[in-house]
Amino acid sequence: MKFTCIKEEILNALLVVQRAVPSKNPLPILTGIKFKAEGDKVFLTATDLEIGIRCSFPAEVIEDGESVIPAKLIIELIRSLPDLPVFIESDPFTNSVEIKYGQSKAKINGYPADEFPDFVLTSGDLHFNMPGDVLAEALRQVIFATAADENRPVFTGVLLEIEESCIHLVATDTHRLAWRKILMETSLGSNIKFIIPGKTLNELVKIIGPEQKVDLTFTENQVLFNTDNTLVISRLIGGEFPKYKMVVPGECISKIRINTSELQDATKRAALLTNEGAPIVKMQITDDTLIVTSHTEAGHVHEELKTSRDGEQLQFAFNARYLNDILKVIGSEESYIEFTGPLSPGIIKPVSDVEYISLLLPVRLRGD
Amino acid sequence: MQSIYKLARDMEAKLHALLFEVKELKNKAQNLDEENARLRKELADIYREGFAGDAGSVDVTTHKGFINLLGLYDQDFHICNLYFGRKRAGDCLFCLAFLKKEQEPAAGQEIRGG
Repeated sequence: MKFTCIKEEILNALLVVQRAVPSKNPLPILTGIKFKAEGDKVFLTATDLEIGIRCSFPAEVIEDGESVIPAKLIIELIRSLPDLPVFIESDPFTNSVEIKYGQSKAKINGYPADEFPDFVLTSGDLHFNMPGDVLAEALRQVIFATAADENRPVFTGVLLEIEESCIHLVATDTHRLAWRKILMETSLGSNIKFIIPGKTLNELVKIIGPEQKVDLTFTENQVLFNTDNTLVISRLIGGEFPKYKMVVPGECISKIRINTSELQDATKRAALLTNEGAPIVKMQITDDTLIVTSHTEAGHVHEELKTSRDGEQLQFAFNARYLNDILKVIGSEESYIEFTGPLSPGIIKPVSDVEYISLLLPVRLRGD
Repeated sequence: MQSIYKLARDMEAKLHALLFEVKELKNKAQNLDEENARLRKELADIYREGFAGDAGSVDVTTHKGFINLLGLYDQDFHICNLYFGRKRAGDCLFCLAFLKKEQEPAAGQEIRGG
């Protein structure tokens, strides 16, 4: 393998694929990035066997070939190079690569390229595409609600459910639930369900550019996201996602309309004076005001926010961190918060056409 | 080159660590067994009470069943079909939705804070 490229282009591609490089892995070769020079492009690949990312960049390829180079070394080296053309040449006999820049050069010992696990791209059962910004926004609105506990794999993923031309994205950790609907122009089928790992989607939203179109392909146990120059492949999570529609409460007894960023700021300030690990803020809906308070030995905060109320006056408490997670991604200047009862989850939704709801269980305080 | 004695000592240390992990696993398995047995007994008691209490009135049985589920939930166990009987940390949307559905026959009951 022998090629010349621009420093910025190789660095950008390296930073994309490094997201799939495992920090700890019993297989040393997986700590490497596979380079494949072919035609007028170089393809970089990294995988931790759960998620794989492939990204290409333009290069003047002098000789086709492959090589696997330790990710950390090559990224740090390329990052620290001056803005000069970079020439890379691999030696297939020693598995090393030589990087030349200006009058200088460096040599990095790599791994045999034929030992690097290859992506197995089976043909897709379901295929559709959507604008990158729509997909990224919808994913951000639900990913935060996935669980971190690997003992419950189903909850570490996002459900993608297809009902004709409607795609439902749902995530829950059983304390909160986020549900976003995306309307497509054509029907994609019915009763189709996949659970995509939250980790994969977290990486994907960082990779997708706003102007890009994303092709999605699903097989029985894999999903493939394809943009102009990047491909992300991931396993799907097996198992049955719980019947999420049953937890959405019915008629509300009280509803307020409030400025999203004002509530977010007030909640953040109130959370400063809460106990570490349990950032519980109290809220009280009075006539046209939402009072946000917190009280600990360290002090107290009292904030009053203008709202418009429809229904009963209520008092409740939320985990401030969970509430902020929702307000950060709601994507609307104003939000509705609805309540159906003291033990029912609060429903938070944007004041816009976007079909999105987030459920958050109120915290029960002593004496409730 | 490391001496054979040092290699053997390292291996001994590794074996000790492994043995420690096995012991930990054994303890965890025992705890789970005990918790499982306790839950089974509790469930059996619930059913026994429910059916022995009365054979005539369905309403009363349902009411008792609801109270028992409420009791289990209050003792920090899941009562939803996803994780029934498992220890829970914090409230669960699915348990509460289930309780709400079952609440009508036992209207007026309160769930303690937890």
